[in-house]
Amino acid sequence: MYYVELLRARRVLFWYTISVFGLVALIAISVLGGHGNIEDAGTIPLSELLIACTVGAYVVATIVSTSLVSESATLPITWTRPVPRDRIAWTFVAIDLATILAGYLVIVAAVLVCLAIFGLLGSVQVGPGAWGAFLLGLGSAVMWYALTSAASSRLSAHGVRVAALSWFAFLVIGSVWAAPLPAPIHAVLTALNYLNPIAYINGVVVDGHVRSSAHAIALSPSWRTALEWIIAAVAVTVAVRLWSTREA
Amino acid sequence: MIAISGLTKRYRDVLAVDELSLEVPSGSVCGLLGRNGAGKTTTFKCLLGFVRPDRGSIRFDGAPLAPQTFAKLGYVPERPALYHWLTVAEHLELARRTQPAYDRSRAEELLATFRLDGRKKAGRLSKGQQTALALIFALAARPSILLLDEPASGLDPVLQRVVLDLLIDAAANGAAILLSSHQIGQIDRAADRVAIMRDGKVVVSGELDALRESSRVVEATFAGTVPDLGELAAMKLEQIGTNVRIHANGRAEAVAARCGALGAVGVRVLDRSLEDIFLDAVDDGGNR
Repeated sequence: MYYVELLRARRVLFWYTISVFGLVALIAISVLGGHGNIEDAGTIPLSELLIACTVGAYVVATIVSTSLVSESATLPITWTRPVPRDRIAWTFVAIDLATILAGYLVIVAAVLVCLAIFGLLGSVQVGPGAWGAFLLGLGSAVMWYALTSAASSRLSAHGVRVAALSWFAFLVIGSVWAAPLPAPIHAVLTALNYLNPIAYINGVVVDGHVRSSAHAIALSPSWRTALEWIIAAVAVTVAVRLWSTREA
Repeated sequence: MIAISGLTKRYRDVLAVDELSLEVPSGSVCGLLGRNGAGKTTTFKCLLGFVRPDRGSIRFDGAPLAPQTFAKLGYVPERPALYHWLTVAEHLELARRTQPAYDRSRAEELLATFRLDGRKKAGRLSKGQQTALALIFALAARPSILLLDEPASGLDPVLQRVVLDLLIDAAANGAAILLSSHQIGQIDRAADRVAIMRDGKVVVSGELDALRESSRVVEATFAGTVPDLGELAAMKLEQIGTNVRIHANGRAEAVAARCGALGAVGVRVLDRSLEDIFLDAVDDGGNR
């Protein structure tokens, strides 16, 4: 039943893992070969590391966010399964979410391997906020996936472009917000940033560490986590609904 | 059985399908003919629920389309819809996992018939091989309803014949088959009934033998001048000199006898091909 979806997820994770660990190998070769320096950074909170690793989960989220729309060319196969369309769509979503989680864990593992190579693994400190940071980072990536899926679910040929443009849109909304702009524009950008997954991990305070002083989302980490998961749930429901009721 | 009644689908200003009614009984192959843009593909899309009709009803074995319908329905689209990154064998594995009635031995038999290499990726197959894979995908579960939109396009003549034989065989085993093709010879060979569409409407439909019978033409040659043809003049006539062609509307024998009685020196009853019937049906005033 989930054959194609699983094969697609496997393919994404395979190339993603190869790329990530290839990068780790390059960094290790470069540093251990004397082309870089390792400075003792003191303790490294795991929560901080988990938030930073969200970028890797964003990459996977971007790739898998096109899974529904990429079925456009094969709808005569997908829609002629003896299963309701929304169930087919939810299967795609479930496997995509598992892929994002796996992608997130892969990059966390890669970073830990990197630290181990440099003898810094002992500096990683597991604080009480690690679990919360994990949920916040994962939620941010899932929100990215859900919003992009919803925006592209009715498109056929341009779905991949929407996924690529999501990076531009989210980065621009986040960057422009920090610029000195008139109050009304700033207010609009602040509102828009509530739909920007990157904004949820910016300026978050976990285990006493602040990643950035400026932050558009004026909420505590737990409220940020709750809100991004709620937005993700709504967006993914919209994506499923739009995809399963579209015409082909 | 496929039963379509009053099916209508409009795309903005274009009436793609207009009050289409059609029945394809079990054990029958119905050829759906029409020029490009006549509404054939839209009809298929409505049947499969890919587009929502504005009006009309569609029933498969007496029930409206539901997800379970696809357990007994095979579909081959006009352009093969395949996962280009999956191999032929992976497509068959997908069919096995999604079609409850999938028959592995049947799939292997078809794979051998079409000489497809299971290890080859679908994206690397030729157009004809992709069509063949789409056919195997549709036929491997021995569906009782088959919707085929140009199923033999891209296949060589030998494999086209194989496909038609497979369809005839499926119909002999009780399948209801709706088959669209621009190659009238294929319809002529496989179908026992036809529906000809023009501008979204079915303009001619019925059993092929009955259509042929009703479309026979009587050609009568008179010596000197053509006499008053009486009641025959009400029929469609073509007159060239003393030669008259009368479209007999299923009364060829009676019309021929009447022509003889009127003094025709030569009378012939001409059978008409499906192509003639099609060309007459889609004739929109000389713009063929």
